[in-house]
Amino acid sequence: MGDFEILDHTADVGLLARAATVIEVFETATRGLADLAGIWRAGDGEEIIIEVEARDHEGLLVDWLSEVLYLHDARNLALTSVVIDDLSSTHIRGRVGTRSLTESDETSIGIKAVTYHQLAVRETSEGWRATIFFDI
Amino acid sequence: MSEPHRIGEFEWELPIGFVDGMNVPGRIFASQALFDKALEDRAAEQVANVATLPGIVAASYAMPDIHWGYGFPIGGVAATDPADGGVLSPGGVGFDIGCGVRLMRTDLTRSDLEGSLRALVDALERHVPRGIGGLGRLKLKGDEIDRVLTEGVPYVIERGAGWEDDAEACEDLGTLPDADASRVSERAKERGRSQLGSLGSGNHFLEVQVVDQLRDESAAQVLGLAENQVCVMIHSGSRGVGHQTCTDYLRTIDTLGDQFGYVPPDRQLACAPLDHELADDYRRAMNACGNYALANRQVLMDGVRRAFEFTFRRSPRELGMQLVYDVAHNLAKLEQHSIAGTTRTVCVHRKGATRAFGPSHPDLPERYRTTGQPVLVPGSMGTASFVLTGTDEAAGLSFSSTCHGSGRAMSRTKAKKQMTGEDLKEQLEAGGIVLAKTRWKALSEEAPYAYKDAEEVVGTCEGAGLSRVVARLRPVGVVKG
Repeated sequence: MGDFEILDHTADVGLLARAATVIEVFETATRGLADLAGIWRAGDGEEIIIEVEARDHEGLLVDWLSEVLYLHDARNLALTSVVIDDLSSTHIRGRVGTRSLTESDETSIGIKAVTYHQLAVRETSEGWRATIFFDI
Repeated sequence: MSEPHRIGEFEWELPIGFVDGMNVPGRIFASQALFDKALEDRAAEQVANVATLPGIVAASYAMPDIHWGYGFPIGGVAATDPADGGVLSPGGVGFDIGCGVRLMRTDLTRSDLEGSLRALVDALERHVPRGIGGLGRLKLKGDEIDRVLTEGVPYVIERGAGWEDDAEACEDLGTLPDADASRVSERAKERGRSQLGSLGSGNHFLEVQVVDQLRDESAAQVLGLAENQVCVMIHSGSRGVGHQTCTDYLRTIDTLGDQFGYVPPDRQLACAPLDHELADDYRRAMNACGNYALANRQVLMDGVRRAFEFTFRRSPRELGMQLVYDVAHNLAKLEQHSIAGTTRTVCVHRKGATRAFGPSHPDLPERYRTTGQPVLVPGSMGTASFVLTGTDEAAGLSFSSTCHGSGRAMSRTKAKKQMTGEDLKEQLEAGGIVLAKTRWKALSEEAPYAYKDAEEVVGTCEGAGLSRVVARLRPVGVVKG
């Protein structure tokens, strides 16, 4: 896994994920989203497979993270792990570990959605970088 | 000249050429200070990007509470003409489809709250669910959600959440037309079933307010407002069903790339021609989510009425708890407007902007045909909110649009660094505001200093002719989402 930092935005919030490989940058962005929302938990979880297709890496990142957000909001789930098994420029398949949030679980900011705003997934001389903004 | 320049006391133009590909100029309604802020946070650039939309009419507008958004600026207004290749952009509506505000009046005055305000806020906390993914007041089973999406307010009234006359005091009488539940994904419905009647998070809230100043006494009388009167303002939207629907349609449109012949300067401006089936599907889904948002605020208001009944031991009818009006500030509507002397149907996108029909408009309820449409403008937490009315003049200035709030002036990160949530809580309470329990750590993200001055925003709207200020209201009790 790589590292991530929060990006400032007037009303919303963004993430810059950095990692050595494109798979790791997707995994890092997932961890970043979960951290921002306060839904990353240690320990084991029930694995859910996520598979999406899009026209490029950027679209895949939005769709992948949107799936994660859906699992959290619709099923009240936290994340315990993320492993991406297959990633091309138009297809991604992976697994997220999940467990149910309880009433005593504290979460953080409510993230409404993943946006396409200033979206970028790029290979640089220092590895892969992904920039993404979320609607709060 | 491709530099921004002033064209009126409260009007600025971004000429064609400010960014590449503009079809029309940008027009920002702002004081000097607010305009400087729009340039500084690059929201002006977003106004110019919107001006590249195919079929956009007249100008890309922005209200004085403009700030940097994603794709569209917040405070953005853009009308597109279906007869001229005009498009519909889900990003021009936002993820929180139909988000809006309603105001309820009461016969109580400030002095009636003495000794009862803490108990009232506690009761509101119990009767008004909030928070992320929080369960709502009205649980829906199976296909019941389809009725909410199709019918909006009248359906939840049928379920016991309110009075028959509440629907009259809503835009579109509580039911957006052409709503089609079949255009909303099952995934979105899954999110919506458990969330109806919940506030949501972020800048959503419920406030007990007191009218502390009337600026237009005759209009205030028509709206049922008087000095010292207790009112309740609710700010909430379509929750997960709207967020998912916007996500679904943005994704579908984005996968088509430039197939419609338009490459947006910001991918969030993805759009489809209004005469294409995809745009029609989205419009019907959007209206369905708009109905959900209306119904959501209706169910929340029902919770408020019950909290007041519990606290004051009098029925809501006896307390005079009528709905003044309900407005949306994230929606795209097909409306008829006069453009170069001809009446045309255009699609008016309002993203963080409120419709503001003037007194002569036939779509207004009878009682508001002398005043113009009520417009509800919440201030930032702990500061004044305002009630405005629309003007006939606004039709020719901004497609009958005005501001929606204070508008953010600072990022959440910076806001949290200035003051802790606990310190802000103490400051608000010292000012006489009773707060419901919340995540105190995050409170300062919504601090007043993170927002523009609402007085300046509404004053600019009035100066520009977009709307008139009727009353100012101060918060005394806050339930933050």
